[in-house]
Amino acid sequence: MTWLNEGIQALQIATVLPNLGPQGLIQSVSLNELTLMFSKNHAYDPTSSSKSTDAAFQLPFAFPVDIKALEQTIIVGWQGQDIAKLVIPKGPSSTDVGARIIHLTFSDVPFAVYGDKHGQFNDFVAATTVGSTQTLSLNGNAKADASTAVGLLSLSDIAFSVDSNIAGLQGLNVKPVTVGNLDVAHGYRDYLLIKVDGTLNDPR
Amino acid sequence: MYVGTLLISKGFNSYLFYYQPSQVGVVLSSIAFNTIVNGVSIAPVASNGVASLLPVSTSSLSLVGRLVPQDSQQGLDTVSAIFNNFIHGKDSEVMVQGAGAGPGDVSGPFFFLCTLWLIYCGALL
Repeated sequence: MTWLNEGIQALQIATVLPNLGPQGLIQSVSLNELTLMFSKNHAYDPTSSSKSTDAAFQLPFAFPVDIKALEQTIIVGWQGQDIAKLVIPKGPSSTDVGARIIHLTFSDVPFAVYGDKHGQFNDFVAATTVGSTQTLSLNGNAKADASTAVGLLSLSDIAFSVDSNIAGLQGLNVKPVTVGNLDVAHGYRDYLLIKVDGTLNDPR
Repeated sequence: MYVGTLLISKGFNSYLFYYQPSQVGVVLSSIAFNTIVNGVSIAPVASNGVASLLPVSTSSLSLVGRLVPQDSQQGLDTVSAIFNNFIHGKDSEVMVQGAGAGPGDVSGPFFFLCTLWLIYCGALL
């Protein structure tokens, strides 16, 4: 029916794709490994790296989404106060598409403590050194490159606010410190040089 | 006829709610549309079975379709913008353009007469 087809093709209707409210995409962030490198000049912005961080996400679409790259700005809070900012530049990530978990790593990112929060940061480092588990709050936003069947889409301004636990060092006391191979190496007029091997155990 | 809202549930099933002001109704074995944003065709959709455009009433039309792969950066930017709007709880403006009606291979007097008869009945009611 050519006339009907041609008639239908002339139809142009402006309409709206309605939203279903803001979607909370990122559900949890697990810092599986975190390294903070302190140095004299960088006592309050130690270099931080992570060999393994996981972010679980959910999307209101049933089709598979593979997050290929992620860029984030995270404000780290402890005991109800924001203490530091972590600006992680865009880096590649791998995604477990079925489970919807993004695996990412980052390296050499300054853990920039706020100027007026040095005291709280000191307390946090002390608590992590002697305590067992500390809870950090991570708020921020992210940008992601999402590979879908349509193509590579760019999702931006993804806000998140989650809590993350990190295991403390427990004062390195979980296993007793062992000392061995004591060797009195050399005697000097004022002192003795003693060499010894000591083993400190990281509880993780 | 004008359209109220185009709803998206999971995947890309959607419903077109439209008000048909005319006193003549049309029944089509199928009707198809193209969803166009910023001049980019993002999703062809077609009715899920028979499409009844009843006279002087609001009906819902169930549509099924897919988001097509985009090759150009403009296409990817357009679909990204729609996804970003949706994630942030914002509406997106789209244009629905008619693509065709009736089954592709049907023509001829029989289907035409059935349709005319239904329209005639509709007009009488």
